[in-house]
Amino acid sequence: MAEIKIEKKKQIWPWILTGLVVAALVVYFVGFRDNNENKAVIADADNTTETNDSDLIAVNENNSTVAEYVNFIRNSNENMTLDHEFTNEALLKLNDATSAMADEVNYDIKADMDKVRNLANEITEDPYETSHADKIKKSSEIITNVLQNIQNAHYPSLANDVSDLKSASQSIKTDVLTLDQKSEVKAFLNKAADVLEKMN
Amino acid sequence: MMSSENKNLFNLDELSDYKVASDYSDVRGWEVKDKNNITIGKVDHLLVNKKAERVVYLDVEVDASLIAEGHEAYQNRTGDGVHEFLNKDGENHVIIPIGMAFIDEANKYVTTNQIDSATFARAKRYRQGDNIDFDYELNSVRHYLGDNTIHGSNTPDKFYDRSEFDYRK
Repeated sequence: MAEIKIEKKKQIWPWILTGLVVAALVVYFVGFRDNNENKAVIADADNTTETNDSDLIAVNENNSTVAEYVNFIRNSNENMTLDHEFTNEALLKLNDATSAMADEVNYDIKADMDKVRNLANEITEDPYETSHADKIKKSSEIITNVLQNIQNAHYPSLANDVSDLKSASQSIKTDVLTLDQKSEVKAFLNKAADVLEKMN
Repeated sequence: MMSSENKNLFNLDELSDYKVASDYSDVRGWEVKDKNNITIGKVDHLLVNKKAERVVYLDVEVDASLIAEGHEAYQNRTGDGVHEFLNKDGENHVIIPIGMAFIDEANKYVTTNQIDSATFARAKRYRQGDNIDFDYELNSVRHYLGDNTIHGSNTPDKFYDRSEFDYRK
């Protein structure tokens, strides 16, 4: 004899609805978390970029103008007579090197550098001018200030070097003849070469 | 048209939340054969007792040849002065208690070892879509068994406890 049982159909809609709700929750939470993670990653990337942008000590700019000044100072160190021609050339090259370095890090120093250029030129225009030391000191202060700003912005690890450069600049006295403070001027030019070389 | 007094009897097709249970054959569309292996029609619907959750009747759409046979039987019997069932045009369905059917799953047909085609031909039929009342059920069972003394139980549910509806009895 036959028998045929019947049974209630398994309702599929509640399962579909449950699945949709679960899927929506998963999408919501995963999506939300991903967004946060993405934001975090973006933020990290930004931080990294900012860090990389701000700290350029690891970047080798290899700027030829900077290298030219550094080489000029290094090569002439032994025979440095510190006459007006040399001082003028050294300051102009330092001026150019500082400008070049500023360009490398997109730092606008044109006004400052124009002042240095004028001061450097004034040194050679009147060889007998007694205020050369004053002009050299002013130039060194402007350059030191510019390099310090560049250092603060992009080379935090060179704080001590710039501090030394500042000391060297301050060592140059305005009321003493340049010829009597050769070592101070040379020390400043050398220190500037050190700082620029490290930045470069 | 039959009235709807038996509210426990449903066409399975109307119960959208029910289906034939797994491990059981859905015989809808299968051929139905009499005890002499003569095809008398095919299963059109399954009539179920919702409370018992089982099929209690096979709703069979009978073949036209069986309807013709029934007409012949009717005319012959009326000629003898015996009033038989009167089936109208369009009334081409009969019910078979599930306990009187056998299911051949391998060959996909339903048969019965108690009812012959002549009995089916003389059975009172109904039109598809008509509701089935308990009197019709009782008369059908009486007709198939040839026993007019069968009485309905106090409730249809009890009626379905009879062996004609339960393969275990």
